[in-house]
Amino acid sequence: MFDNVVVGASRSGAGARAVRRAAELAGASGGTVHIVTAFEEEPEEALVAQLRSLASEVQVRVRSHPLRSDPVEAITRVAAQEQADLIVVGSQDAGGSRRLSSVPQGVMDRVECAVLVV
Amino acid sequence: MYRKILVALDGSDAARAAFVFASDWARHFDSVLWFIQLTDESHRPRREIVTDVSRRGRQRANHFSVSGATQGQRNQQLVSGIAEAALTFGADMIIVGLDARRLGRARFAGSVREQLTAATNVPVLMAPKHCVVRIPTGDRPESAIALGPAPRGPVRTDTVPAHV
Repeated sequence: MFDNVVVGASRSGAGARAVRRAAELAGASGGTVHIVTAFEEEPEEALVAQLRSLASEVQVRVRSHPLRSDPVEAITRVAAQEQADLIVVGSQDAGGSRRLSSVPQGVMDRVECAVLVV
Repeated sequence: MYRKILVALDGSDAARAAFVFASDWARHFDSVLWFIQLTDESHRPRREIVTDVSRRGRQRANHFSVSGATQGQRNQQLVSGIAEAALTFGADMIIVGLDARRLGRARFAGSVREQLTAATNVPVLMAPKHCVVRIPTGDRPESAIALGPAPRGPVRTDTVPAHV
């Protein structure tokens, strides 16, 4: 079903949830999960390692893509490069309810493939 | 993992793409699908969505219409209709296949997507925008529109009640 699942990762709880879901979906399809982390100055290697470890709990191929870029640009660029079937992004939790941040909104505006907001 | 899926459709190209995507998903992950049809009474003539599923035969999607005077009111009705249906069905994911204008990709930027995400804790999947589908012809009632090809494998759908 999904050969390439791209996930926008961050330090937030929503980011970790998105990575876990993306890994499960890619793993159940025998596909690869691509973890995208955008940074301004230095890549957050500890975060990348932590997310790779999280994804590998579900026996799935993992590739990480740390990019010096705006998050929307980074996610859409990797999605195009890897011909993503699905992009997974997290929503923000605000006072018990969820809301869409500019990242999932920006991604949905720019891609043609399916986008899952978790 | 996402075994009970609510699929919200209208009569648009996006709905056709979403139907095919949801059917593939259900076959692959052995999920149960539940369809609702959303109609904007202010703009569109009512057309019935009929889904093809190999195990249960043709089935009418549950119908939900919005008729507010303003776009904001209609969007609100749309969002609460989808959220209530998800609650009723106990959905663990919502797949959305609606006309791009409803999703705010143009004039009402992001409003429906944003409201829907806030209105439910269920993950929301925006279906791919394009999909190549075969439109069967011949034995359908004139009022029905076909949403994609008949699935190749079994797809399970839950019983559709008369109203949300």
